[in-house]
Amino acid sequence: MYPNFYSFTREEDTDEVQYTFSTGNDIGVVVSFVHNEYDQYLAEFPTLLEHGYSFGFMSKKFSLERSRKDDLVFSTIYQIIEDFVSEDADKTTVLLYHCDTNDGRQECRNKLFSNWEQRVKETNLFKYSVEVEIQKPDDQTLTTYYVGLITFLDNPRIESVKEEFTRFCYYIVQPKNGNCNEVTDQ
Amino acid sequence: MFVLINQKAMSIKKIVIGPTNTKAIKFFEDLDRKKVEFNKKAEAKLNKFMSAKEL
Repeated sequence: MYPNFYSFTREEDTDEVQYTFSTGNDIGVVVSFVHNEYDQYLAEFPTLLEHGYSFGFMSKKFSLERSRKDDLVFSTIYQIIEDFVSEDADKTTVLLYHCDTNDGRQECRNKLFSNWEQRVKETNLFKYSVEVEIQKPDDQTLTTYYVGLITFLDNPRIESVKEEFTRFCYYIVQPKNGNCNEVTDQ
Repeated sequence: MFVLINQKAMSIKKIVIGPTNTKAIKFFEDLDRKKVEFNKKAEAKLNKFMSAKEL
């Protein structure tokens, strides 16, 4: 769909397909698709279990050159998604992601995905994501997570995908076996 | 803890997890762990990939 993009390599093993490319200003990018990454959490969500892939990417700068906005990065990642879907999956593919929180820059990463969402007319990609605030019990700090999924607007199972993702959100807020978060009279 | 739903589109926008929801906390800690592992592997791959430029 896009007239220009960076050249990339594709490598695979049994569970993972990995793409690698570098940009004009020496930024290396790895894009990864893993099939069984979230299986332990998806037993009750058959569409996500069958058609879901964990989708992640990481970039690293290899020069001191100042970073600049580079539209080819988006078009290359989009091309990679197209290649992955045509080689390994189909329009029912669901890419599951969460934004890395380890360096505290998860909000920036979420904005990147939101920018992609605005390009839906070019890409036909649909994004559904939620913001999750967690208050940790040990130090009472508040951490914000962003989790979501990307699929094609013409995915014939898109309603099941939305329904299961919503149900997963309901599931995650439920007390485990009813033995925590119990309401007690104070 | 609660779920905030956008009434117009009826889609979940935000979840707030309370400090006693160990199930959810463990889930997100597991996601963090997976991401750390992914970053390590990806960085090693990138170092190898980019070193080929020097050939």
